[in-house]
Amino acid sequence: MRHLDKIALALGALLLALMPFFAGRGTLFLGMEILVVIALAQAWNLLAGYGGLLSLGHHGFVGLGGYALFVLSRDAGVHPYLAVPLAGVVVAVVALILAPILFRLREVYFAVGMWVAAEIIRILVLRSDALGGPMGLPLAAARSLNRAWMGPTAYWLALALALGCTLLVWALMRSTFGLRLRSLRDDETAARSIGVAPGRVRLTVFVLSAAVVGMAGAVNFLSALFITPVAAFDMGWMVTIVFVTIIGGIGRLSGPFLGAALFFALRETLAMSSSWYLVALGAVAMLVMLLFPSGLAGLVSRILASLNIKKEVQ
Amino acid sequence: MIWIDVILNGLMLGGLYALFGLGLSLIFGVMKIANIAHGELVVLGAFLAFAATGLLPLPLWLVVPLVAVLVFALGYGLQLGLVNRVLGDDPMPPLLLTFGLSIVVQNLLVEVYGANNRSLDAGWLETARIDLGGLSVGVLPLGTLGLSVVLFAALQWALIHTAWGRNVRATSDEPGLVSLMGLDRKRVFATVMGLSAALAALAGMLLAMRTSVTPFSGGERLLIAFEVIVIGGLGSIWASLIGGLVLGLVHVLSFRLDPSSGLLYGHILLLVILLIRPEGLAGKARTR
Repeated sequence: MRHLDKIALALGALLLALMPFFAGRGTLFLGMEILVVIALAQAWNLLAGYGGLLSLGHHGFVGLGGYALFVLSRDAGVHPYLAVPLAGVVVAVVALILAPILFRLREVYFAVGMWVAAEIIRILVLRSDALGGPMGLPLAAARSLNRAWMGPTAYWLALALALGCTLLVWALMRSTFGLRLRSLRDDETAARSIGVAPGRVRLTVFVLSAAVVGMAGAVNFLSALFITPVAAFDMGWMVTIVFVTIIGGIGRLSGPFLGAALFFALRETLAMSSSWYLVALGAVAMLVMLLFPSGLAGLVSRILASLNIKKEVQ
Repeated sequence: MIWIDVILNGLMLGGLYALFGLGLSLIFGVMKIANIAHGELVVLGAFLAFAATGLLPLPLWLVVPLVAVLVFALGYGLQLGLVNRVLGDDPMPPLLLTFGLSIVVQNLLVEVYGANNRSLDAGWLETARIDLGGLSVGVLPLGTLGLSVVLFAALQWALIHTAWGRNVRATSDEPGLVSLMGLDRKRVFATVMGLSAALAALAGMLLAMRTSVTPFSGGERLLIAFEVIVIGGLGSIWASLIGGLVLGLVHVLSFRLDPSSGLLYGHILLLVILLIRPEGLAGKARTR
């Protein structure tokens, strides 16, 4: 059974990787959007769900990653595809600089403190003439790219990020590092007493999370070919990340996937204004927090468990 | 002379900021949770006042307390119906729940009222000025600062000297123990949330009298309220007043020296305070 699961997962990943060869442009773009959201939600899930460090400022890292791509490819002559991982490095460095300040805040204070940090980044970018100010920047290096392969490449980058981040979280949680991280989340005093160093463990997940979010932002704006402060630092990123993760199941590996599936299924089928859509989504997220905090992932595993019991009884 | 003017304007704006922070500081202190929808309650107060002045032939001085009472009831119901259900050792569920609420309220306001700028018409009060030893000062900002100081003092007095205040302090110190004394913790929390919401709505109406607000103004109000608390320092109500005045001064000063900076320098001040004085300017407890 375990083997079968692994084969099914590998086949699924292969099928997703082959999608650019049989899907149309529109479908491919939607696929990339979904994968970017999954990567963002998984990275936030690592920090909030497993690490207990809830951030409300990850949209700052999304925008920063996007701008890093545009600036690296314009001023440093870096190939735009290569600039995606480098954008992750840039955002990781910014996270490293912010951490000593923001880690003075705990829990709810850290969450809002991150939001303030994102605002600082947004205003600084907005005021920078070199970054185009409120007008934003075009992707100057796009001329050197083969247009036919741009869509597929952005899709593959997003796929690699979504699956790579999920694998990373899976591997971390199987290691002693994951054990230390969760022990800190569940009982910091007890964890400290057995020698877990809170600062270093938290710093590691914070920087990892920021790097993935930065790369996801870079991929998103790579395919958009244009970046503005309004789009890059939109609080809507944060809203999507939080709702997708909560509804899917916070602190669960499959949560971001299930949440993103529901999020996009509703968005593509419901014909309502974006504000009604957010009202509905917010209400669903609140209901999940109130009624089944483990989200869709918890619900699915409960249903699967009860099916297994029935099978065994028969 | 111009600097005295700047300082005075900063302090008066700070009075309003302190009022944003007062309600949030109260629930932080008592329940150890954050209400991410605090900014939306500020905006909701302003929009309810728009609706009331549009629908009913009531004067503003009657609308303001009416809306405050209505929002008190909303906050009370919010705590009893929703937040109490997710209250526990973990502060994250209430934070996520109120984050969801903030998005719901914000977008409902967009649907009902549209995304336009609106402001409350305060009539003569908007332009009235008095002469303070050669300085011409707006009556509305000065009155806001005065009201803010009075409300801080009243809340401090009520927490120390009334039966309600004793219950709140007891519940804050020993949430598990008070139920043994026959005190319903959830009702105490509900009154605290109601009061916090009413203070937010009041601040929102005062804000809408001096400037315009949109349904999207909530986020920045929350950040200001949060900065007021952390800059002032935790563990004391008066610290939030100091935090508000300092933040107001910084905003007015930076607006004069660097008009396009928005809230930038206030945000940077927060990081600086965290670096050099994490317990805040006048705080007792640390934020960690």
